[in-house]
Amino acid sequence: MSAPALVVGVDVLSETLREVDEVADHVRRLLEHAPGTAVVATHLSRCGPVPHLTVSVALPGADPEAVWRGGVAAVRQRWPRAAVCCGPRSTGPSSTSGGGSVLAAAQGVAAHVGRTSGRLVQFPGSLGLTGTVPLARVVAQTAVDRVEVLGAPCPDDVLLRTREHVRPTWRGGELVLVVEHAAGGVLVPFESPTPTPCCADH
Amino acid sequence: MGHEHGSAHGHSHTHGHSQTHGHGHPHSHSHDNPDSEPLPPALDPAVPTSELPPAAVDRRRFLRSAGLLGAGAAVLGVTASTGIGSAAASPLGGRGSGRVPRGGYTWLAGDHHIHTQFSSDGQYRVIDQVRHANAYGLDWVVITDHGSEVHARIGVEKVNPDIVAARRDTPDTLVFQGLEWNIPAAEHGTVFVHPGRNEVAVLKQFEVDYDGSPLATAALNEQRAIQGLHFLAGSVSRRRVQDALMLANHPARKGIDSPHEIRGWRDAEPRIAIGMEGAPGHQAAGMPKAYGPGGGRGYYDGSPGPGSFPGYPLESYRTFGGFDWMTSTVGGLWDSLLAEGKPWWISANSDSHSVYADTSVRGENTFATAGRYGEPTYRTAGPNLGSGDFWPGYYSRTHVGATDFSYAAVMDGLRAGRVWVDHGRLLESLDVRLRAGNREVPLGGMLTARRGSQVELVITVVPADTPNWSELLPRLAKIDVIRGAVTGPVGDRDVFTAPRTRVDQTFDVRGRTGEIRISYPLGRLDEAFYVRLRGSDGNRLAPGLLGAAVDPAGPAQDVVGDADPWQDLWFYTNPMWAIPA
Repeated sequence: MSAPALVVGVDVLSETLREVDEVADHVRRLLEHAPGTAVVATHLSRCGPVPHLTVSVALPGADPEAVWRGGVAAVRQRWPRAAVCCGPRSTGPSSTSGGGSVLAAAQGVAAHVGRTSGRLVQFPGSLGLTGTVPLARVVAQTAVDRVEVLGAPCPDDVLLRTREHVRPTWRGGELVLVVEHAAGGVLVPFESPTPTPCCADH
Repeated sequence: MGHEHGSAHGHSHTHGHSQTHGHGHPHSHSHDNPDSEPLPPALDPAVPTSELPPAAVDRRRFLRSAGLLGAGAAVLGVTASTGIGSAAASPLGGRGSGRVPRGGYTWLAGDHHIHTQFSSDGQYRVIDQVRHANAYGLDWVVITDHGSEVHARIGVEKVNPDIVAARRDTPDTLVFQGLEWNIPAAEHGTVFVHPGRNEVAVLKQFEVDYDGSPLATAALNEQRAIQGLHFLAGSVSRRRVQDALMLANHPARKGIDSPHEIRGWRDAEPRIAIGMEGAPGHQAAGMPKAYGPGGGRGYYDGSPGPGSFPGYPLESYRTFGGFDWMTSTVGGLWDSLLAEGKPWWISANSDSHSVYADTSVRGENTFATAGRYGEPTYRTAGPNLGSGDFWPGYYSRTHVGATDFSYAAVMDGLRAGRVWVDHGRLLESLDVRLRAGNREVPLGGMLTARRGSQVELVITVVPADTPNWSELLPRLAKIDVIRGAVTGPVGDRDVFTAPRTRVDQTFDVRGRTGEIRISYPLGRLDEAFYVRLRGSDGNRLAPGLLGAAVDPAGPAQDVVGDADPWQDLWFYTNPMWAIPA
């Protein structure tokens, strides 16, 4: 996170967290030159008629022109109506009438660069957060600056069941992971990998 | 402004005539309207008690002990023409008349949020839901299948004969037809109407024109929701239907009912949009995985999405003691609405789709073509421990103070806010009055009294004295009096805190049985304020989200995957206001 990275913004008008996570994963695979090095975030956008979610991907040491010709072209091929911002260049519809919006993508880039807001899908150390780990490891071994426990306080040696789904958020420059209590005396990240959808067959 | 409880209704109660509500509507419902139902067996003196089903026996005892059968029966509009007024008034089975607080209202328990095989995620017949509701003691229910393209085209009409049949088959449970509205740009809501000739036509037109599901995305805006409420109000004022109500369902579940939208509904049509679910349904959804769904209580397990109001904290996506964050936070969103001095009521419902440990499965998938699933069949795989709902009346109850046993009276009582709610049958009965001199109001009332008057809160509560439907006898541990200043209309319509609301007093009632009477002096009436009550079995307590100084021992946040609803029981009342004249 020390060297300035190229941050690419992509908007394909994702409507749910699950949907945007799939898009983010796909975009990362199209852009990332070395596995695990990208920082991938999602952002809320109120550009256009419908609130939606965008993706931003930071690529340490990447060359904007090379990414534009390679990864971005692949993204455009996969989502022809995507809006993409990459360094000084951008492509896509200027409004959200039917496609992603360049403005929304650019706002995601700005939030990523300033770490003002956003929800992290991949971040330094995140690949080590699998299974059940000591909560202390989150701050010690990843880019997460702080863990916040909702509800009752918890002991120092508490365990975090990651559910392979850890999504910390930027708040004023700080990366914060909110966790809550779960069955069995462990903590889990606040965001569930499988939230109950509306009108689900529950 | 005043509720015109005039002599035309023959009410004999001595209170309430001084109360005013903010709705500004005259009572136009006549209780001898053509839609009145036949006399329920529990009320029919020609039916001997030995012939009644158990639920009806309970109901008859209840009505007798409340003084609502026999000599007091004149208040029951439906009985006026049947001569029941001469029936004997002696209490049955040792249930003395002190058991149920008097006061002229019969408290009718109900549920306004129930799904059937006419919902895309439903399963049961109408009669399955109504018979269970009846057996578990509910006096009124609303059938609220999801608004959808299929429901608007087929279901909303096709469910009606089943509802009409259920009214006939279970005459001592009132069955309203409604629907679960996909509120444009917001969450779900209950919409329902008084039975009558046009009930289906009005609901259908409402659904086609204002439900978020059939509508094009471009029409999904906040203004469309307001227009829907205007449509309902117009249907009542033009007498197409006798009455209509709307309540917001599971309002904080996904963070998409913003404070200004809720204020917008309330202020656009205060006679129609009257409140929200204080507690959502799906109360079994937090049962641990070993023998339950292992989800969030109420299926409150989400996190902010693109439609969410950005100001809401993450806590708002969880329940507290089974209640929605908007209601459970002392000094929170609900209080910020009440502090404006305007009514906004709460309820508690089942949202029953598929019942925990039930032994049936959904029938054949004919939803798209027939507008409903086939008949449910027996579940040979054993009880379904993955379902998160209870039958109506089994766990959640909305108690409405009604002037008689009729559709109109239930809707009037809801609109007046004479409502308290409980989980797991925590209370046998509850009566609350706000009093100044010789004036008093019931729940939902606005008491106007001379500035400087001494105001008193009078609570008459009977904790549960019989086991609930889980066969455990709940133990009421405490009652909290929550008090807030009326600070008037807000400048910022998205405000969701009320800094001058806090728990004012707590009464420890552990070990108390029988009727408990509490008179609590609230001091001189110098500025307008409101009070509301909350009580708990005391099993799970935590400082409130706005600090221990505001709420030292409130409901604890429910743990996703580890929330046994029977071990964490609460009741809440609606507020009463005191206004200096």
